[in-house]
Amino acid sequence: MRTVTFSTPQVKNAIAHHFVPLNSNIEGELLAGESTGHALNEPPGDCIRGNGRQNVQTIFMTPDEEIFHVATGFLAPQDILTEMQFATKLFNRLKAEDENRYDLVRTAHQDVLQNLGSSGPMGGINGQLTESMREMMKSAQNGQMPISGMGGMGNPFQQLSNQFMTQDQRFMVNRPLIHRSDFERDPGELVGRGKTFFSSSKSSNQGIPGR
Amino acid sequence: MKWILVFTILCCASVNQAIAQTEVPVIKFTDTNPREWADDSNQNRLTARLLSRNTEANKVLLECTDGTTVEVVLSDLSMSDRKYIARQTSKVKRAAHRLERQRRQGDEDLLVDASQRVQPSAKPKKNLGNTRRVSNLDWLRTPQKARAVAKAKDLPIIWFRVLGDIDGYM
Repeated sequence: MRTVTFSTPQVKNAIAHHFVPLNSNIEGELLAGESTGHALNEPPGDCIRGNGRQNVQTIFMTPDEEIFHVATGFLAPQDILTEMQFATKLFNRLKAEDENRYDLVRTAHQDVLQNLGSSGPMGGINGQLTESMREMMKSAQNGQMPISGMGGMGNPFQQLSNQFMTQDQRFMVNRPLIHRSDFERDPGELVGRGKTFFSSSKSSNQGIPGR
Repeated sequence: MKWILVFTILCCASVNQAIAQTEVPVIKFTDTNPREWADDSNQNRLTARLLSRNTEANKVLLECTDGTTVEVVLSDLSMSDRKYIARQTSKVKRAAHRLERQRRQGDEDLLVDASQRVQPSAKPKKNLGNTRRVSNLDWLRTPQKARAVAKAKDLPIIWFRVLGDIDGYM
């Protein structure tokens, strides 16, 4: 993701202007996946949305570290922009809400769940976007940046990606506004408890043992 | 009958040899110092040095201060111990990767005329303290810092949890 997604100007701008970026290395955690090692400048492999969900999680939190949206696994530039739009809109609504914050998060993700099978990954929830985000989406759709990892990969891949997204949404329906520290104690509810292996590099580093 | 027996013994011997020659995924640590280890419940403690890690069996070999060695399953160790092992593993892998890159670069250099080589930039890395810069984005490293910045700017936090260093070897 750092090679493909975060190096895309639209993604960089969106993160820089609308979010506070935080990074954690999950190496050593029991539920972290495994991967062939690769350096920053090495070419990425082919991924679909949601690949390697135990290795990569993009989590959206309020300033009080309450988790209100998650997207696990690989996200292509367009995917993360869509997730960021959703998160921005939900965050703005959360700020205006005092009493029913949990219901708000639960309902927002229930809506996504309902739409997942029929009208695409985020159908029905785009609503009002900030102007700059709308511009970013427009340029993404005009082919000025790499298209979603899911796009054009055929129905089975899309179904798999939808499954990953469904699991993410279900987590948020079940655990709306879960605190970061509670999540860190047991991320298994989100990423599963099996061990996954993910090789994202095609380059010649296969001789180096995976984690 | 005797020949069949001899043939069987020879076959078994060659199979055993092949198994012995199969590469075991063991990472050896040469420059680790003795430290205190704890089990998952933090009840039992032990002072030892990390010797090696078997990535296939998920076990580590520790050398106690009296010179005896003990093999421990990774999942039985405390979180801080597992993180320490992960950091040491990353260090060894980075070193192996650097060596491999140098070796490849050395091979390439033999084919390129010295005058055509591009000199690496001598510009020092910017010290960003508690952040890591990737793709011109400054990623904060602690939730406490992110919380403070998010509160000040009234912005949500995007938390990227990933296996490995965001600006290094993953």
